[in-house]
Amino acid sequence: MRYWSLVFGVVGVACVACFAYAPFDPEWWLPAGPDATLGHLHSASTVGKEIDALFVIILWITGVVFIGTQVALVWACWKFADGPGKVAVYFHGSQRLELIWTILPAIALVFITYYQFGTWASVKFKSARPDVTPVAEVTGRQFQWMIRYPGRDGKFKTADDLYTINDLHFVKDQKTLIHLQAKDVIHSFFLPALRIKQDAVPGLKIAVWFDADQAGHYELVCAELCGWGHGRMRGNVTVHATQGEFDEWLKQLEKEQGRDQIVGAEAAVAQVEGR
Amino acid sequence: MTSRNRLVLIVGMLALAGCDEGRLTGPMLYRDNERFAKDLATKPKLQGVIRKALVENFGDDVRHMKVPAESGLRNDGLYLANFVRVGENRETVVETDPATGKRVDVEGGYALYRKNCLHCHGVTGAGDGPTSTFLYPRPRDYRPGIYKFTSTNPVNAKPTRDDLRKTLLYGLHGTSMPGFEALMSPSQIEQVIDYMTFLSMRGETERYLIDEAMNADDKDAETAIEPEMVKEIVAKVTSSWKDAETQVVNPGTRRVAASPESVRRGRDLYLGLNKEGPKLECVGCHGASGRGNGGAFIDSDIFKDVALRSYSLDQAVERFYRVEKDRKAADSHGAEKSKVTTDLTALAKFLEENPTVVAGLRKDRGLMSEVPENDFAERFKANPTIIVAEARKLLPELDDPNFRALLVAKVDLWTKSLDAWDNPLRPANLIEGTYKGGRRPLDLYWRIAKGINGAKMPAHAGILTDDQMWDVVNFVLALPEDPDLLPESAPVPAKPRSVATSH
Repeated sequence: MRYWSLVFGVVGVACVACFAYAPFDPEWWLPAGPDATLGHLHSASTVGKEIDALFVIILWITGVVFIGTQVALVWACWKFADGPGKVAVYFHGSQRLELIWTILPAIALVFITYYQFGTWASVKFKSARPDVTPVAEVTGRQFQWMIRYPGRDGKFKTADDLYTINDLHFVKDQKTLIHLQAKDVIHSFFLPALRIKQDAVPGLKIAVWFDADQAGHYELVCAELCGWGHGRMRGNVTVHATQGEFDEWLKQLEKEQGRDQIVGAEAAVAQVEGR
Repeated sequence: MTSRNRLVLIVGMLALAGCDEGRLTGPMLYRDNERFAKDLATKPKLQGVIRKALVENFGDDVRHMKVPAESGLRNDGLYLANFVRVGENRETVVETDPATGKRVDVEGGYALYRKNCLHCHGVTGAGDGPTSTFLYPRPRDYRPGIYKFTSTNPVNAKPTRDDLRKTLLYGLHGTSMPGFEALMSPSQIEQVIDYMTFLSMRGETERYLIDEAMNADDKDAETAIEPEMVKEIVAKVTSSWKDAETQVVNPGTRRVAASPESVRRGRDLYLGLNKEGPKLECVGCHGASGRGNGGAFIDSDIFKDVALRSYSLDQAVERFYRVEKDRKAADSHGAEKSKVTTDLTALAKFLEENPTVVAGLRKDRGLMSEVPENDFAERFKANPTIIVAEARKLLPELDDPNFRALLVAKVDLWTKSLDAWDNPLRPANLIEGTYKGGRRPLDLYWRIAKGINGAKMPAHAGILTDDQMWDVVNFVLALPEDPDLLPESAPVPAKPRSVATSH
């Protein structure tokens, strides 16, 4: 029955083929920015690119190990398959082999641990928090993202604050800071194309920062099962190409939120008063 | 079965599973209103006439939808169905996907409703979908044709398309209604508005027909509800929707600047401290501290027990009473012993005078639940002693006249704290800054000017001037940022003189 080894071989080849194909298909690869083209499916943020690089490194390490072990498996299945007159050999074990397959993975893990420290720190450590005015205060609640912009004065909790639901806007290539909160249960603020994910915890105000090097539309989703409507807790993210474009949008929002519907009424009042 | 046949079967099943989305299987019938069983139980012929009228005007199944002529819906409701077919040639309306160039079926109103709305609002739009029982506030029942957050006058006027669009796009804060802006395209939102309007029209027509049938004799079913009358009712319902666009209450003046003076004027109006002009009763519901704890509504603890923890009302009152009693006992260090002496005659009289209490005991505590309703009344008359003894066993607090008075008072207050759908209501906690009907100043103007349909919030248009309403808006918007405007332990101002609110 040595032909079973061929099945293992085919499976191994198919797996490697899948990985080789994946970077060329947006459905298979990690979510990319809006300007990404086939073959260049990169994250749209600085840390995203670092995270992707880490991912690729780990993929290479595990890929090499996978191919090596698959080749060894197929070879062993083929060579030592049962046959007429073959007798199995029994032995207790090999200390040398045990040491090798303990120490090599340990080295790999320690390497990965240290290698990713910088990236992790730049995403989560307070010391890396950019010294900028927060663009918005994002509050998760069952089941939507409530977003508060500080308005013209750049301060929250003032009369000129502006509000949107599920609609986050910021500017391309700018370090963007938000304050993340939750109103009821734990939610998770997830920008897949920017590789940003942070739990929103009731009672905590958490700073989250990110950037995007491509203008356009992105997706915001909740990544923590928060109740029956979890799957509907999605938002639109718009990255504006310039600060001017963003300011223009804010002005529109301000206009909409101050709407009073008395375009015709004022003329009528003037007429009555004989002005 | 040979293995080849089995393979064909499996492939076939997979193919069918792939087709499932969109192609409906099984009947998806619109359900009768509950009042068929309650009000028309003895009138089977009239029930039949109403059903027939509804099928003729709206269809019986979501696969055979009909839209009344002159419905006012866009394209005469052409895009309501799941898969849209036009005219005699049964041509399916298709669109081309710009990305792939492939033809795709347009998802009609029902398809979108089924995916996004049905699990709360139900097939018939009765707010009875499978998820609805887990939610507070309960999902809207469209059938009465009443919508809370509208910009139109008079009371219970239909919402404008813009009102509904706003609810769909941004959701209702503080409720389970999510915003769908990121989940649907603008044209899909319009289709859902069409479909829910259609359900509402159907439900309201049904309600009017039931009203007519209540006064009719079942023998004259055919003549009592004639096709002409049905036509009139349908026209009345559809035109009420068409009228909405012309009934918007627009502010007469621009918003008063949110100056400290305006906020103070708004606060005085809220508290009824204004020297001239009408005295409002905001405090009665929203409370002197703005925390939504005014005395005109049932106590927050009882409300939470019933609405959120599934206690029955008498259980909740019992818990409330115990807590109060324990607190008093703790205050007096147990010095004061309860001096309750059992007066069985008074208790029997109390039970006789308060059938709702007895009904509660029977329903929630199983007071002689094995005895049918009619027999129970007779037995109670014949021999109240046994039933009184039973009731005392189930609810020993009944011995205490204070508890009995409390129970009656709270049951009464409870019935006054229900909305048009018989769901328990809470006045908004204004400190939280959660505004269900939207947080633009204009939205708050509408809440104050025309109230909340089906709820206890009255309209103030005609009572307050536009400037005064803007003052109140400014005050309400300032409150979450500056809760000290209404300190939590504020001395309650003298009860304002009552004013006629147009409700």
